[in-house]
Amino acid sequence: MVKTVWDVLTDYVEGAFCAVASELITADFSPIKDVNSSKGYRFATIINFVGQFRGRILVSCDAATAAKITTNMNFGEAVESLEEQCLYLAEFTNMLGGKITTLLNNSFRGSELRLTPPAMFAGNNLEVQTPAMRSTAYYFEGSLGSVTLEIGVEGA
Amino acid sequence: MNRVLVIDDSPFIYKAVKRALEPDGFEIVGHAQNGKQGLEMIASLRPDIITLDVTMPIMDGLQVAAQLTKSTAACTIMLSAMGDMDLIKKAQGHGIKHFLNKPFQPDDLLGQINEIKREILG
Repeated sequence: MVKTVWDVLTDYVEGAFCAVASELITADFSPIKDVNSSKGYRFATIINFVGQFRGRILVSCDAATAAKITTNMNFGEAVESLEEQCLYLAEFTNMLGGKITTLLNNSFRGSELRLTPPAMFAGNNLEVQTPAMRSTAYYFEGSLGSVTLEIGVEGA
Repeated sequence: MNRVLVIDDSPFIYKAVKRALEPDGFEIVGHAQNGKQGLEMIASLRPDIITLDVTMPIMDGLQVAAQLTKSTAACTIMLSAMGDMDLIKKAQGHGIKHFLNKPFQPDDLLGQINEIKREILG
């Protein structure tokens, strides 16, 4: 049976997220069905992939989780500035996006997917939508908090 | 053979490279946050080793790689979140021989540099 982009993503995304979290921030995350709330101060980073088809990877979390992730990335030292926290989270998303697009490129040769530089957002009750694109949300929880990952693909 | 330039838009990667290499006597001579700035810093700082990201604003790593052979004799390690066969082939076409996927461990980076040193020393 020929696998679709969605088949490949479904098989791989949760494992990719947990692998990046483990390798980069030595934190264990597990997939869960849903997160309780998107209220309060939140961070979101978006990386697009473009090539023979295109898509978007959105990673978001609350401020407490963001602080813990960036502290772990920063070798145990708190990342104080908002801008730098956003840049660290963007790199986390970039590494996750890299793993996912590498798999897609190797699974669908000729896709020539490349990541775009990240866009970062932070604010109260932040909600980012992925319109006009088929998308799926994945939720993770671990010792550092909870993280939402949404992937949208167009034209696959 | 110990002057290193980091070309990467992430402050985290700069810090991670610094932490991986400085204890072993390497000097991080600069941090360029995009490819254009990287080419300028290569000309002015004359590094021995370059770590080069792929996804960057203004000028990406492959565009930098295309100009590297003209502008420097430094050895380049492509340090990227992406590692698919097409990308590696394109980078190899620009003379890049060394690749390291992010996230990386300090020993992985040191291993690549030691490999470069072995190649140079024959």
